[in-house]
Amino acid sequence: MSDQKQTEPASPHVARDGTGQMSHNRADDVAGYPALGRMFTALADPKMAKTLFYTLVVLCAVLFLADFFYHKHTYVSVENIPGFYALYGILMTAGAVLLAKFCGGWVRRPETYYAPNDVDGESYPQDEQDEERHNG
Amino acid sequence: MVEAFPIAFLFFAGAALLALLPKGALRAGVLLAVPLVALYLIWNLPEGNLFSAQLLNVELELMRVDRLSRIFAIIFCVAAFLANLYALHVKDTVQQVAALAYSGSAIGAVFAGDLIALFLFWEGTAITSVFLIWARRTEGALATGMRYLIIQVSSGVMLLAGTVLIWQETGSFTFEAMNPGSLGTWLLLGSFGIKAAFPLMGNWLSDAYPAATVTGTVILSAFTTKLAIYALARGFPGTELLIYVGAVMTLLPTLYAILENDLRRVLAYSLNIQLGFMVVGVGIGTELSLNGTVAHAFAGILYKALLFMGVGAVLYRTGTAKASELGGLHKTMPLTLIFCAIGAMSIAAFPWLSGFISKSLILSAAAYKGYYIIWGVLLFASAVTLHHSGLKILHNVFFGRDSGLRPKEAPVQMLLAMGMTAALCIALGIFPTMLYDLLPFAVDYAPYTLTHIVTQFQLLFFALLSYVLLVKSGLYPSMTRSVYLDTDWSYRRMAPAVIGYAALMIGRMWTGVTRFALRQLTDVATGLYKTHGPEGRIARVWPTGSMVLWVAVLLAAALLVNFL
Repeated sequence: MSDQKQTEPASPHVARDGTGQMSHNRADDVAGYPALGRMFTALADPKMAKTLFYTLVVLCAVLFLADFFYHKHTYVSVENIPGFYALYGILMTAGAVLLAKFCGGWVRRPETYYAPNDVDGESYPQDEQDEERHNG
Repeated sequence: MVEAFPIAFLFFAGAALLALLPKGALRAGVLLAVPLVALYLIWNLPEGNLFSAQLLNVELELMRVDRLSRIFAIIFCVAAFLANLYALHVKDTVQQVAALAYSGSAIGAVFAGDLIALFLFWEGTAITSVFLIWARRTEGALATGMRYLIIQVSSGVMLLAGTVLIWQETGSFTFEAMNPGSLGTWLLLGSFGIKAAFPLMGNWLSDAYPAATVTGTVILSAFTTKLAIYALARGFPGTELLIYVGAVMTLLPTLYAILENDLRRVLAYSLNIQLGFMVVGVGIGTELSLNGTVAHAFAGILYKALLFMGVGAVLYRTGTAKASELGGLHKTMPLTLIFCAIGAMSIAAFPWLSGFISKSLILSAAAYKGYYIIWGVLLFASAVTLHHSGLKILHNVFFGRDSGLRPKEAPVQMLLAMGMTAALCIALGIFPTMLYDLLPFAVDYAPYTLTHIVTQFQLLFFALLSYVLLVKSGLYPSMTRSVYLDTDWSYRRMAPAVIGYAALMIGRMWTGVTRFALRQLTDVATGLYKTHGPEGRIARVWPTGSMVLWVAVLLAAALLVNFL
């Protein structure tokens, strides 16, 4: 909640599109939601998070160990390193994200930087959308 | 042969008809029927140059049908159908007409057998597509569309200039494989490179696509860039330079895709990365790699459209596509979530989805030919694609921090379009021969080997683990309402600033110089006035006295000269 307050600058369209008003309508009337949505809600429960996380860790461990139990057909020499794909997957992606985080500050500008010659600072025109909501 | 007319004209006729029909079911019928009829016709066309027309003194080949042009035309028809289905609620005549005319131009360009016809349809795609951006009807969209149009048209101008130079050199307009060497071919390569969003030439992509309407972006994502990939595959197969250009294309946009807040811009960057894969495939130039490029374009059009549709549906229902404003939509938009997930898994190349069977052709081709570094780059790009095009979108829109937004599920026509696209992504993944049979060269490749499946799952699951760990530890860059400067800053901010500064300085210098000159002139004039004016010293002895004296002096001199 406080998170949202921080990310909303006092630009006029925010009040208009109603997100501010939306946020205190937090008591979910789950009955009106689609069945699939209720299923996902149960899955996304914070209590499930730990289970899901450990499932993922176990899956990753199994996949890593799988390398020792079959014959790999390889074309590139590095592929023969056990768990090469696993290590490459985790290290390179994490490296890219950290590099992006590190460099991001230099090129980050407020949304209205190019205004009015860009759409970033504008709200999406209302006649091009159809805001139907379960709440509000 | 009667039925072999240029398929593009069918689309143009449809577009013209749209303007005449009343809004509603009839128009919807035309929008859906035209791509389907075109698909049927293209499927049954024989190969060869089927239709030529005379323009001034030039014979235009408008229907060159072979395996390469046919598969691009097929996927363009499928994409046009799906995008039009998705956009069935749109009542805006401009967007409807632009959509049909744009897809028609792209199909016309693919079938163009010579460079003049290619140029005509090439410009056609530029001029028709900009209306999908302007259709947003805001000041920002107008400016963005203008930038987009200028860049697209300059690509066309380069194409025309290259065509003329090549004609001077060879006396032929035929569009066939060539090597960059002369100025003409370089101009052609540059023209294709702009549309294919080469590094430093492709910022229009991430600039313009997020500015279009919900449905416009879906349509835009399919045609322009893939047309350029087709042109590269046709014109420059095996050009080694393209391998390195493509590899850079898969790397640079990655950082922006990780950082960007606007999710349609994230997808535009990730589209640029996918184009990089295709360009590498063109550069390697073997049958396997060219097949890979075409297959990846085919699969890429579908999963990229699916992702743009999913994020578009969210934008349509909530009014924003920004990661910082969204979250928790799994509760009320579960179907959109499922379709987005299928698109995300396809682009990340999970086994049994479309990206897997197309991307692996290019990766294998790179490894077979000994481009190991390029192979490593592509492997990295495909792992990190799971991060930005998959997990980041799913996490920030559907899970993550609850935004409190409880939008209704996407409307029926959008769900239908997304469902069909998702079904195609799965079908291509499970039955790869469906796609392989259409490719330009015979395919001798088995994507589903044990090694390939296990290694791919390792790559992806460990990438998934790294995302989870980064988010849990708070190291993943947070999404805030910001823009990230890319090289388009050079012509949007730096160039205007430099020109503005130069103009200011030149203006000042001009004022200084003129003021100085004026002062000098005034000084001279006052000086002269002082000495020669009516009050001046010289004027005291002015007229007769000095006149007679000087005449006498001259006379004396003349006499002296004469005497000597």
